[in-house]
Amino acid sequence: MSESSTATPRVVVIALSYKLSGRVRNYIEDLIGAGVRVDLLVLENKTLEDAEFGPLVNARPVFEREMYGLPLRWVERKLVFDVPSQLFGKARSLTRKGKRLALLDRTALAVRRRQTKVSKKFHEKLFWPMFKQARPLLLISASRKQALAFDIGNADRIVAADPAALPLAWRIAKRYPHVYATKALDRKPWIN
Amino acid sequence: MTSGSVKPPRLLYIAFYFPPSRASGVYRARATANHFAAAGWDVTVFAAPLRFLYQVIGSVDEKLSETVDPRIKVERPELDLSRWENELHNLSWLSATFPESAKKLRQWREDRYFPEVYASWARDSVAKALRMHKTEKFDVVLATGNPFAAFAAAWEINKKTGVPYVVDYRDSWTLDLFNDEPAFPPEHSAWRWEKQIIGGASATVFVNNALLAWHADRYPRSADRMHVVPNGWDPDLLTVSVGDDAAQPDRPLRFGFLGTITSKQPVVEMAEAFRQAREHPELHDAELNIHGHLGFFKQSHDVFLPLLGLNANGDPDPESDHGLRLRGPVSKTEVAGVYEHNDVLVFLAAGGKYVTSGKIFEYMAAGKPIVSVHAPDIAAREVLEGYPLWFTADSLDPGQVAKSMLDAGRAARALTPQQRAEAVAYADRFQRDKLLAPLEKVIRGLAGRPVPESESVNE
Repeated sequence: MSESSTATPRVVVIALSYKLSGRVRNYIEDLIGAGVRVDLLVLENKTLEDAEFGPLVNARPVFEREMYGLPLRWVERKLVFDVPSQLFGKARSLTRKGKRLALLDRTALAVRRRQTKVSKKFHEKLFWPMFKQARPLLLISASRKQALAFDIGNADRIVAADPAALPLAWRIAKRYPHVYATKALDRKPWIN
Repeated sequence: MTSGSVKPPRLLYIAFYFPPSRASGVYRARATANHFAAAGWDVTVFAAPLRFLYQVIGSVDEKLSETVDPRIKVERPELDLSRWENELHNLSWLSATFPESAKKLRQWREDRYFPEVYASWARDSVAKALRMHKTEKFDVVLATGNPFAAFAAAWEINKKTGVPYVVDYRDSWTLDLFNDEPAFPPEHSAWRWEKQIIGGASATVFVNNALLAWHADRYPRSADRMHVVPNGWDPDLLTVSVGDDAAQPDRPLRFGFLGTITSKQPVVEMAEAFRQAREHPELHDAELNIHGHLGFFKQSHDVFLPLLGLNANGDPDPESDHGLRLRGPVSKTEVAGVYEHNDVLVFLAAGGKYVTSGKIFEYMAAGKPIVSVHAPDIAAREVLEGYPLWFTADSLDPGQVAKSMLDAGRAARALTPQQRAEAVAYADRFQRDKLLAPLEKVIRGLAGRPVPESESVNE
């Protein structure tokens, strides 16, 4: 795999974890310190908070917020937390009125507590582990367009900076077989 | 050299780290293969794939390959490199799409065979050995660890063919040398494996008496088949001349460390001791040359630089310069120059009562003062105690180590040819061929057929 010989080298870094790890930040800082331009694809606007890389980094988020970009997460939150919360809120606004409904109100409160526990358990034990597995795949279609907006064909390297970025980066690498693509945060040949 | 019509016995030597690898244990493997070839054996070595050596660990010394006896056949069974694969174009669909599941699947497949990341290499070694054995029979299998998957391969070859095997514990497996404790929890499958491997081995070899005793205690039924073959030094790789004279008082004294610096070694204590030693007028301009790699991997370099008072480029940092100089890696074929250049050799070693370190034999062969920087109860004592130019503080206290550095420096200034000759004469008993001869005799007894006339292996 030969690397392009353009005057200013350019690396496309794909990092789709919720936060940029220190390792990835250091990598990007080292690259720009060596005069390498970096096209950086991150997950959401929040990922770039307190990251000031300067003009050599062209950063682009996939989503404003992942919650709204991936409907599955939004739907789960609505169905499991928001809708029951609204329903119980409505019910209790009625049962709280008057002493005669006190028993009903206590029952509604108990059911509400139970529902909160079950919803949390469902989210943590079932939905989230499955979503974590599926997330990198869901991100492929959601982020492919943004990634391809970078001039990847003329880049010197594609870097999958974290495990979440791997499925997308692998597919892009297949599309551009002449561009060196790696999951190693290797600084060579720009920094020895 | 083989002669007449007698067919030489065939040795299958399973040694993952073999030239051009530059791993620390490779010299024992190289010497063992060369020794058996010179003793008239038909030697086949199973070694690590070159792609692993060059691309994964990046740790090679091509000149070392030239020192392997040309009669030795080197085969390289395959190793599943997917865990080390970084290039996206080489990843499988599964590894790229479900990296976590692919990792778990690989782990499961490895553990099912042997609890080590080199299990796939061992499995392919067995398959290759069986194919080769069908064509022409092996007489004995000798396996050296680490990796200890080599032992599993030898055990399985024995199960399937009946060929006797010998295991050489070049390194420790189930004993953590740095904490002197078992390396695995009691329920770990390594114990079951070790029991059946040592139980089935025709001989088991260790590098020092302390290690033999520890294993004999655990496996008393096999104790009578346990032997010690210390690490020695290789005269074909090391001819040290006197070097320029340290007696000239106007020339700064040169201390030298040769080897790989690791996080287990008392690096901080060594640097501090040398700083304190340089406060003495006799050593005020002395330097401590570090010849070798910082860490085993390409990435581990940076961690050590500040500990040694060096900047990111490996140059002395004016703020914290205490005379330490990074001289970089040295090919094994060039180490004699390092020993000649330095007046005092610094024996920096990790671990305790089970650690000998291969380096100490070369140090002694150089016939120069040696100053110790290691735990006082290290197993290397058993060889160093007879060396006439050994200086030890019996402590890692920097003040005391500094004092022994000063004593060693004075000895280097006053060293006579007679003293040096006595030191070299003591080291000669640790020439590798002399140490390997008893092992060759044991294995010859297992082969069940005579070894043809051979050239002298001590030449």
